[in-house]
Amino acid sequence: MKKLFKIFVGLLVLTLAITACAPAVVEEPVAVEEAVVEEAVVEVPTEAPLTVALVPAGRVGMEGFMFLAGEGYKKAAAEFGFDEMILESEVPEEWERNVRTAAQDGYGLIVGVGGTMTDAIANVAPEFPDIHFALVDSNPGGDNTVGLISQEQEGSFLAGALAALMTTDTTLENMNEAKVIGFVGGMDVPSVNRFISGYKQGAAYISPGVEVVVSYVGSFRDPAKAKELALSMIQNQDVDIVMTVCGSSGDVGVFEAVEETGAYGIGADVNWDATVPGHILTSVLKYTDNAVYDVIARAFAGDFESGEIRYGVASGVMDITDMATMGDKISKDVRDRIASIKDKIYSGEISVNRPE
Amino acid sequence: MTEAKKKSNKFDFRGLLIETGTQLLNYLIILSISLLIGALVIFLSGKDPVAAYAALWKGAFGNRLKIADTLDRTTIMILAGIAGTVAFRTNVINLGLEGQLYIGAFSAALVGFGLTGVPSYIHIPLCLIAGLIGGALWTIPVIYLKMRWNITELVTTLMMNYIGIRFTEYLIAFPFKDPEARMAGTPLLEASARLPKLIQGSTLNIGFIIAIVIAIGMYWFLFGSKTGFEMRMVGLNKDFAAAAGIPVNRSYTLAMMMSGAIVGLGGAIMVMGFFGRFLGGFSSGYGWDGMMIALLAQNHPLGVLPASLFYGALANGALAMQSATGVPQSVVVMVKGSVVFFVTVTVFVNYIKRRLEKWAA
Repeated sequence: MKKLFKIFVGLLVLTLAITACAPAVVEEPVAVEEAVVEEAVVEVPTEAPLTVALVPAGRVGMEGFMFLAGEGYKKAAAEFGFDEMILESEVPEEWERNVRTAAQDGYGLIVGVGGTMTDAIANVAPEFPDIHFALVDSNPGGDNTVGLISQEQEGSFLAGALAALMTTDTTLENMNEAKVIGFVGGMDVPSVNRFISGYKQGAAYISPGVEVVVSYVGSFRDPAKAKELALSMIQNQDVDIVMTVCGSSGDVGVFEAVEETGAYGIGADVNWDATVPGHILTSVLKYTDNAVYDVIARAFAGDFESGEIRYGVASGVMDITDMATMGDKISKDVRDRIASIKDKIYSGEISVNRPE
Repeated sequence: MTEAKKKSNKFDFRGLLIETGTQLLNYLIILSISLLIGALVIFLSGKDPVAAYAALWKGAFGNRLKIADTLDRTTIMILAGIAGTVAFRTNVINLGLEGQLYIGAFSAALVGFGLTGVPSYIHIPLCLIAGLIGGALWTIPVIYLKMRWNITELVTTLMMNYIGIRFTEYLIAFPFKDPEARMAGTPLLEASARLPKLIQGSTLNIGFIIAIVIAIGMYWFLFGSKTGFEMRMVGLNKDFAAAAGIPVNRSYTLAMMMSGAIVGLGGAIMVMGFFGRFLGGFSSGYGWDGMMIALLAQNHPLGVLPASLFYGALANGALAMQSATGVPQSVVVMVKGSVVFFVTVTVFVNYIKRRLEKWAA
């Protein structure tokens, strides 16, 4: 009996070992290029209508910029008549798994949202050469991928110019004489730094003497620290206007500081102007929906090209709000000045440097 | 040789059959009840439970690639579960799996991007060993505190989690920050340190085979080796083991370090096989899952395999269920919770055992 049991266990282990090793042996030829192409062709029949999946690095219902991406996607879905498939998660591991799931399920175009998904797209795309991948905010750099890059610096240039024009306007309460404006950034990452660069360039365009104070929170989800940094700028560094790019929750923290001190703020990504009425000068808007819609439209038109597409003021993706909630606190002169700067960026007369 | 001696040496086949049957039935009942509870909740929220579970199944085992992805998710669960098993078997309450996972993952990443110009067959083992060592070293403060002042590992391992996770966050925020990365993380690992894939289009890699080998190896170690026997005896009754001359402290140290090493290896495999770099906060609580899986497997190394597959399948199918039927992924968490609950309370197992024994007799 004991011997029998031993044989049984031995067989069991052997079976396990074989099943565990089997894929390695069977799948060896798949590593060859031709095999990969063949496999992908089976999964994406070229005759079938194009299907598009959206994979945001977050939830479309929460972050402002994700929300806009979702809107652009839904608009495209309605227009081009494909079924919506949004695979959302806040967990970095799931981002790649979601992209992979969409690829395995045979979606023809997969649109990722958020620079944090760069690795996810870059890891999956080479394995599915017949599927197109687009990524909002970053360039994954593959043969079948396209990066939808926003020219944040162009929108931010307008905000910087506005802040420089307003910071010495002491007719407004709590504005001081000092030519100092502030910026609170979520993290020291390229997309935030583009905002900062444009902000500085815009301020310098109006008056080279304007000083820009910059702080980083170190997170896009830390309203308490964002608030602290903004308070410290306003109370200790003569800052009267703070621009914030700290993620939706972090931005709220900065605006709380603005509300408590009576200083002025500038928002980003979505329209924050009504948050503290009369104290948010403007918001730099990033119409991600236009970028997402545009790339889907390109795919349906059959001219998807890998590489990078840049969306700025001229393509309607970057803009600032109409400053309506500020009313006559912002004079007509200033408004006209900003409008003319916008025209100049549009026409290319002003070219805003993009930091890399 | 007396008859009695012979009989006691003889393998008790019927006993094993009853034992196995009991366990299988027990798990079957638990699984059914848990799925029923999940179905009830889905039903109450106005969705179709059958469609939801069908979608879950399709997401986990729908085709070759889905199965491969499920197995890939199972890999880390197996290693974390085995890490829990070896500790709990020795009655070492290692609640620090999560922290050890991070340190192991970071150590592997460090070797993975720091070492250049070595061939894969050297680089990969070095990274895996770094993961093992990293995880094991992270338990040393715990062992020291236990040996020196008899401070319970229940508290120290738990706190070492936070230290470990935050420490790696510091490391990637300052000394090892990758300026190119879009997220806080180390630079990408060298290609020579990436684990080879088993199936194109899936993330399944040789880490899975390593995990299976570790599970079987641990079974042999615990039930076939002298050291393993000692560790189990210490787990059953420390004082009795000490009286019998078993080195209790050595068993404790070994169990703790093996536990840390194996879960550290799991972190290494995630970094080398999945992410390609160390990312801050990359683990979705796998250390904690590991403890649950060990509990589910009743601290049996081979039981960890099906338990991990169960966890992996639920994790991989949850998304498909949500996107196909709109049932939130959190239903899966509830099913997992119910299973763990019923395993812990062991209500059914005694009942079945009684019935089976009656039937067999």
